[in-house]
Amino acid sequence: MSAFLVLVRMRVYDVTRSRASGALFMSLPVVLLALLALVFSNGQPFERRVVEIVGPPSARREAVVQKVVEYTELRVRVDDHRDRALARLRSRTANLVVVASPDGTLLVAGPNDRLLARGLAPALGPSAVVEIHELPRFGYIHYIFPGLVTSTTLLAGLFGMGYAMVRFRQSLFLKKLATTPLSRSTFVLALVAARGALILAQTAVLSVCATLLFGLPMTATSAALLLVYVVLGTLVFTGIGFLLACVVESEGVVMDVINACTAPLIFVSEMFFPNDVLPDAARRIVALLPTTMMVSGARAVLLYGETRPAEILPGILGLALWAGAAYLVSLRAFRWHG
Amino acid sequence: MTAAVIRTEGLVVRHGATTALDGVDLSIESAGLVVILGPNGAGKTTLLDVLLGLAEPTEGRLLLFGEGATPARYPRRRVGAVLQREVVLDRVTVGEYAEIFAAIHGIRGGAARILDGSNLAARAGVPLDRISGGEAQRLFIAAATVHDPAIVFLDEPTSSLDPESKAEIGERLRALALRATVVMATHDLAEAERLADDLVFLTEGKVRARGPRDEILREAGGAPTLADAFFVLARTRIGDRGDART
Repeated sequence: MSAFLVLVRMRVYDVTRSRASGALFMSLPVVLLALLALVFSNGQPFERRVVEIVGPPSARREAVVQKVVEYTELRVRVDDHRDRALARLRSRTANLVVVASPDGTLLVAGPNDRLLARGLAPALGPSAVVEIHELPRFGYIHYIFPGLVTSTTLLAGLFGMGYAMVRFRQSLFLKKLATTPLSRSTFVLALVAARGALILAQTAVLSVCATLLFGLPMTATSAALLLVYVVLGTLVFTGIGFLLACVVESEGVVMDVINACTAPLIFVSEMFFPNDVLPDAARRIVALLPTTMMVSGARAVLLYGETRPAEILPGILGLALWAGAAYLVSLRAFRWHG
Repeated sequence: MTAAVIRTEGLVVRHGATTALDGVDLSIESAGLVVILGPNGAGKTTLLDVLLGLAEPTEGRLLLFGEGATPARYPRRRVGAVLQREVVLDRVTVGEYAEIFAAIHGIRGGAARILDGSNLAARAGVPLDRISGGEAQRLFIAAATVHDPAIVFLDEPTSSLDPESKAEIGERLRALALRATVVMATHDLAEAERLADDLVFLTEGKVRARGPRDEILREAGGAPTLADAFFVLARTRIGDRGDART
């Protein structure tokens, strides 16, 4: 067996050797998924209802927007794509979709927002029509799922690489390896491959559970694209973990740094909640974060059925750039021992 | 004239204001067991780090097999090492440890060779932290020599072992020294006296004395034992005596 494979196996065994730790690693995200499903089974927790106004840019659409924004208890989002807005309705991140077209105004809502739709319709003109659609009960879980995949990839990548590498350095395992002909690229690739294998297995289990238990819509194409995002996310987050391990020397400090980084990322990157309450400038910055790129890309392919290269490639290239930069800097900063 | 297997020329290592090695010249020419002796802080581990290509000297150079060796350009396939504090990775078994180092050196059947060489084939499934210190040290030495290196460096390989295990490891090192140049740092004087073909006495980062036991005793003013010589040399400041032959 090659050194690469032996090291991969060693790192996988680190997690799976104990049945308890292996089972915990695989099942924790599923438990989290179930808890979130329970909490959000009746929709998302924001008090203000979200109204999506869609249609080609036109005076008609603008008039509808002006009318709806008068109701300060509503949050208004404007989108050109009807399908995307309806997908958000199904995933319970929108309460009402108003389709403003030259032919008239159509209000689409789920059963829970029937009153909202019927109450608002008269204000949008006598020709406004209301449609009530049945929505998936766990629609908000569909919204959360890409966030859950991203957060587990983030945590597994940072801890699996950053913490493990610092531990290896402190235990002098790296110094021991430095006395051998093992190349640092083989060593680092083995760690990444081991972590990647575990993350992919974890994502597969999570996807199967989300599909079977909560009706997550998944096609072969969206699953393949999700795989791309998970692989890229693994590279980015293990790369950042590796970088941390190159500059932070103690186990305690690296844990603190990882915790300090992950908590804000989870909240601002739209993993579990929409971030449209953030100021525009902040949202522009947040959009450049790898967590946001991964979660919004995965969400677009899973929920909105996005397959157009023009929509997907910028995020994929952004993640690839993050991964490349993280490994470039890390490999330059890497030392086998202090 | 054959080139020295290991040669250092004016090695200096400074860490900030501290000088860990201060002009070390050494030449080791053939198979055998060379023991580096010295009190704590004498520079033994720093010297081994430089000899192992783990640290770059501030001044001077290292030659192995007649060629310059640096951390970036080092003949790792011809060198083996057992570090002062060897790694006991969480939950890794004896067999897996053997496989890791056999695979790193690309030795087919190397894992079995390590296990046989350390008499641990029957304990292959036992986690490293459950085997005795003597067993672990046998394993580390077998793993470090699975590729038949021409040079083996060991940093205090018996420091935490009981007398029986020390004797056993000593026998292994003597056998190893028949086919390789073995350089071992220790402050176990009895072990040094029993095992060494040649001794290097290091203090304050300088070589204070070098040669077989009797020569070291002479250098120490006719000390009756190596232990006496150790105390004499360790207490004698460099400036008081002039540099020793190296």
